[in-house]
Amino acid sequence: MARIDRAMATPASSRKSASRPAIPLGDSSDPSPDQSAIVSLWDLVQQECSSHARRSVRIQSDGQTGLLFFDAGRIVHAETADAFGEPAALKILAWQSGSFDPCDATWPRSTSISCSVVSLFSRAPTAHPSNLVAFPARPPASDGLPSPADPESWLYADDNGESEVTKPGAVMVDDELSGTVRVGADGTVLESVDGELADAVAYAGRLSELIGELLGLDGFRALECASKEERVMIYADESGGLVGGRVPIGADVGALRNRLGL
Amino acid sequence: MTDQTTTSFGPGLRSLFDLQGVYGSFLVTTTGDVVARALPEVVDDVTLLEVGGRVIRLADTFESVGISPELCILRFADHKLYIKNVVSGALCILTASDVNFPALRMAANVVARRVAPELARVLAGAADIVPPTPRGVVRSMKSPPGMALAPPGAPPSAPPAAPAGVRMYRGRPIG
Repeated sequence: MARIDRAMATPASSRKSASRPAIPLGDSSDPSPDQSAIVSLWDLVQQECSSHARRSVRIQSDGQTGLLFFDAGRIVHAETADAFGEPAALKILAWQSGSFDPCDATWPRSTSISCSVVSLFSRAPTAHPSNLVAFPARPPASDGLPSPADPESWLYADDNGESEVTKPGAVMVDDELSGTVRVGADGTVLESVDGELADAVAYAGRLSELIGELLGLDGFRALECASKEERVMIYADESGGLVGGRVPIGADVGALRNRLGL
Repeated sequence: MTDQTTTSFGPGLRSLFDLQGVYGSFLVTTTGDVVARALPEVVDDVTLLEVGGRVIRLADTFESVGISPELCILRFADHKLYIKNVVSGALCILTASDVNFPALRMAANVVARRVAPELARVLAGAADIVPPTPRGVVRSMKSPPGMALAPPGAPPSAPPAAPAGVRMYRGRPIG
């Protein structure tokens, strides 16, 4: 089991130009065995998510134990001794030191977390860059996926692990959108888990732009389509492309609109 | 299309002007025909016909991926186009971006309920009389209040009168 020293690491998001290892800060009762092996919790979680593996991880910290369950690039469940689901995940992500090890914990019968990891990090008490903890680095993932330099970019990494240009606003939208589709300004499908939806997003976006042009309405920004069962949201990103996805019933659409500035 | 039919849509569309920020509205059948309009003259009929076709194709697009859209909202920099789909077509409402949305939603629901049966009859009648092409736009509405579209007191636009002995459909001679 890898040890974790109490250390502070600059989050990946703020050290694009800095190379690993992260520099541990503060006192440590147990000297860091290998500074080059220190990475932030961001990185470890990113590695797990980037692998898209179905895996459980045990995190131990100051006598506390928590479990994170990863599947398809997300944290789908979390448990601690006294919490479950998102509260447990937020609690774990706030821990300042500990260990981070794959385990064979019993898989939950149902998932309890639907939001993105970025959302969890943003709400965790340690979300501020200066508070992100450092964890010992694990060996590179067996699938060879690179560890993205930008903590947000992995959300939109393609099958080859190559990251797309990520718009700051787009990441948060992922909280509510499922099956996110991204279409470039030239019509290229940049990201899609649903080919049909990608086509629909591209065509609906184009139709919307044309409707706007015909009516003299400038600046197409977004399209919302609501049925009884679900809602589809499509919005124009800064590059002139389109981002779209399904919004689950019960999602906070108002918050989503606010984030998009709609 | 007769004046009587188009007039029946009038009160519904006009009532939408009660809401601040509503610039106009129009009704589209599932075939893409615009059967009534209450829009500034700056949007001509041919243009609106093109819009109508695209509005229907927009709904068809979502249908193709298993989504039956009841409502579509197109957001632009300063405007919104609110599209309320009904069985036989769509009610489209052009608004400012800061329109009172709950009030608009309620108004659109009320108007949609009112016009949907008539819209269905229009669609059925059109299918009985002539093929859906050539498509046309029926203009029956007054300019919205507060918009300099036509001189005060100007009569609402209407299809041209048919010469004696000539059957007209949507302002065009047929047969």
